[in-house]
Amino acid sequence: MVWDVETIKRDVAAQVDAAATLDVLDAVRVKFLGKKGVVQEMYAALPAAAPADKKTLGQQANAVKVFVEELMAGRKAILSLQAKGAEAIDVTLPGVAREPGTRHLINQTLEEICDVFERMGFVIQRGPEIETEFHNFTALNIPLDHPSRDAFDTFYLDQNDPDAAGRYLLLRSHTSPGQMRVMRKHKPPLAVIIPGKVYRPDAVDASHSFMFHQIEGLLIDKNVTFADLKGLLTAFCRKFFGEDVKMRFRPHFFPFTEPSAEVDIQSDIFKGKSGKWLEILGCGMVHPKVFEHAGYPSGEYTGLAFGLGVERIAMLKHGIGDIRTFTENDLRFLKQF
Amino acid sequence: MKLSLNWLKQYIDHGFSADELAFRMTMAGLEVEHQQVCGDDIVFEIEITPNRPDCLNMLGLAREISAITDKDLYIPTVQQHVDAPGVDIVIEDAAACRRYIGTLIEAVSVRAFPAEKARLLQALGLKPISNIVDTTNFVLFEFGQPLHAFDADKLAGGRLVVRRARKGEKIVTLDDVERVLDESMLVIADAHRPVAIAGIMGGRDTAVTATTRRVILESAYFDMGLIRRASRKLGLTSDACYRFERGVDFATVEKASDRATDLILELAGGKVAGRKDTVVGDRHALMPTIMLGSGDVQKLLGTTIDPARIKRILERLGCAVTVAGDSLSVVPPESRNDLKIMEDLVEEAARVIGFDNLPMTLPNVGAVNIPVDLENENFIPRIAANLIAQGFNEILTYAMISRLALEKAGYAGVAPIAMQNPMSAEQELMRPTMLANMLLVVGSNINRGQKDLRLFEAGKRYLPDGERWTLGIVVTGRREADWRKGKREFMDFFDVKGALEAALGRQRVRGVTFLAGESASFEPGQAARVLIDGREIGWIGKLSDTVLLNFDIKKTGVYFAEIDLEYAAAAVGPHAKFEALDEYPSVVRDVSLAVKGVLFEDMRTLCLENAQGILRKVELVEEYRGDKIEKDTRGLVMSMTYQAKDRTLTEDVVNAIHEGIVAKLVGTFAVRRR
Repeated sequence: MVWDVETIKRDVAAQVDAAATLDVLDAVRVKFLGKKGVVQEMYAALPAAAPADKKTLGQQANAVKVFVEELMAGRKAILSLQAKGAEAIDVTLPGVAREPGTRHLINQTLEEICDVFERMGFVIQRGPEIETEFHNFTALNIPLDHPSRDAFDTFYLDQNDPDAAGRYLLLRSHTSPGQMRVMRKHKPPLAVIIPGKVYRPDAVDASHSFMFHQIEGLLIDKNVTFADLKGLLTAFCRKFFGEDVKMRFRPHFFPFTEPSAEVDIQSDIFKGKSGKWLEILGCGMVHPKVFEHAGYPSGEYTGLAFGLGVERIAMLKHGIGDIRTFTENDLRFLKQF
Repeated sequence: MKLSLNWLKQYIDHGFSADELAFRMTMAGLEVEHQQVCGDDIVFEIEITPNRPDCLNMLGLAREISAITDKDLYIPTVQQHVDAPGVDIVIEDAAACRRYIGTLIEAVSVRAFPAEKARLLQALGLKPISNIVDTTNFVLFEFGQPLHAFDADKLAGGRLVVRRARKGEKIVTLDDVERVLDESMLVIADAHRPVAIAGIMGGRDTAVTATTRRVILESAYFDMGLIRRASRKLGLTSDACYRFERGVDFATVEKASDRATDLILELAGGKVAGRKDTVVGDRHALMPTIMLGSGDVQKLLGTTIDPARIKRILERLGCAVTVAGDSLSVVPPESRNDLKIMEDLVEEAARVIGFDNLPMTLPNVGAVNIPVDLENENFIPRIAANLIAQGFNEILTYAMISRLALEKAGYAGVAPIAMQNPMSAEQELMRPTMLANMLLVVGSNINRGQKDLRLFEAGKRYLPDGERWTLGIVVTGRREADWRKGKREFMDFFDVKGALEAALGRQRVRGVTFLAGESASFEPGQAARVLIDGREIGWIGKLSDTVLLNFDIKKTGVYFAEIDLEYAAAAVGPHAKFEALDEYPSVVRDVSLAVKGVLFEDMRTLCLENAQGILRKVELVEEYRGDKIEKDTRGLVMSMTYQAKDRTLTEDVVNAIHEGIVAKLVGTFAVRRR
């Protein structure tokens, strides 16, 4: 003879489910698991059972015991919560975290650009924002009273230039004076990037500001060529704007490089500018006059240099239409990036 | 610079469509910014870089196109006119005017310019005036040499003098504006008065009119720098001035004069009644001979170009090229002052071929000869990263500030650096503090309903003894939202202090202390100097209501700190050394004290000094100020953690030391147990 386990289980389940309070549940527990309970009765019947049934009966007793215990535990948990008056948490309520702040988009972009060049072996250098006539102009082959200065309208300060009698210190109008400082301080091979603020007295509108950021790059060694310049900047543009970016090197003029070029890019990632060539940087081979001002022996080195505008790149990359957004510092803008 | 494709046809048959031509020119360095249909003509607007004044005319552009398309150039033939008596010209300032050709043409009939030629001028945006004036403009745009025609009968004394203006001398220029001149400017004068500002604009009273019968045609070479300075000083520019300040071609002065003479004779009749060509120094500029060696192209471009191809390109551009062994010996044309060195020639060849048609390689960036101090380099980015992790948003404000805003912010430090040429009062000064700039940002955000702000900027301040990397931190409004806590609390002094301490501490900046202080920007009793080893590196505190009102910030507290990051970076301690993790349990004892006029920091120091080395930390649990304690007294609950490195501390030991410390506090300061 064996037990009708299924019936017992049904009976247990019905009674456990019906237990509305912990007290009732406890009575159910006693009924099934207590000293005179059903499970005990099943174990008690074992010694008298026929030898052939003993194994089955033992397994049945164990199974019922485990079944009752599990059922009881589950019901008890529910009844306990109810007894405490507690409800289950609403797991869809918002999580709580200290919201991290944000890096300004200009500095994010600046660091991303620097990262790309650092991975290619360039080191970061910085130069002062308050500069001398020599570093900002003369050393870079930009003479006084020359139209090549038109592109470099400059803010002058009420501080005398220690290097040039009768001239005043100025706010650098490009990061290129950093080139000269690095070249005068260190001997080649050089591979540096110089990020920072630059200033030009431009009327402020959606695409102009009197303060913006540039990154200057300079690579000088015995055998640096224009082909290297093209290769380096192509590698940069692909890493930064994606492998699909289209580029062109358009001849241009900078007093401190020869040959000189501007780089235009085209990419579908630029909102509303698909199919348009967008100028993003100026570059060229370091002009021998610049080497001369740096005190390098004539003909010993060649070098490449480039400069790019951080605001412009950030605006293109993120679809920002107005440069003033950066200096407005509206919290909603800051938190977007 | 505008280029009329119809006009261009007079000099070259390039055989390209407008689009193709625009593309080729752009990719050779003559960027066609846009093209416009103008009747049966197409006009390009071309950006001419300042090194290429030779391209500021049709022939110059035609020469470029000849090189780009490898097609022949047709230059108009010009009759050579010779000097003849009849014109009286004196050059007083030979340094400023190296050449002056005056041609007197008599019995001219002033009429309209022929329609066909007038259309070409119109395509370039010029308004046709008369055959004489239009001829000067036509030749200006054809050859790039500015010309001027005087009505000879209106010149007093019948002579022209090239001289410096006298201080206060006046002239009414062609645009009907009276200009006051000075000695820095060059004029063309008659016997009595200036009749033209040299190289910039002619005078109204001696201009050619419908009744003019005798003209003197001027073609001259003026000093570029002098013209440029005068133009800037007068705030007056012109097509002539634009070319003179970039440099005109010495040799073209005569060619253009003769061309214009031919055209006037053809279109207005008359005859040459006199001509005087005054040349100071050499008649021709001495152009350099530039050697382009076989290795030069490879060295600069990283590739070779067939020397025959280079020769052809340079010849198309007007250079005289001879082959000298495996080098080229090149003499540029007089119009190309920008060609001086080998590199210039390589660029000419490269740009005509097209940079995009040259190969590229990845540079071999080897070991760089610059020591890298990563710790110092990363200091500021890491401070920024730490503040961001603490929930601060980085802002970026202008380096300049107005005097007014600085005053409003209560600035009372050294006189700031001033700008000589600010564009507005907003940029009058270089900021000596970030406070005003940051308050402008706080104000504008609050106005837009963003009242809970935690902002920082890591940038520079500018002081007469140098620019300094600086950190500004500002907080206002409530702490971050937590729906479990219900009402949010407002931030205060200790939020700024904590943020600053955490950011600096994480970078191992040692020795930072805070010393109560007063300043015009802060509320009395709510501010402190920030010191490192006794040196003031900045300020921290609650901004005064007056300052806030000045920035239109109402009904909220704003807390600000500003420190010199360069001093902070210099105080970075040595690398942290591993400290063995504690093996023995710690015991915590709290003490509640009533404190009068004693600083927490002093009490904390005293506790540590009297703990026989087993007091690991003293923490503040609570500060109480209010009704339940005597006036001028506050309650402090401090939590002391005792722990030894080598043993488990017994209750008795801890209690004895703890009670000893409390007794010491009570005995030393105005402190009692609560």
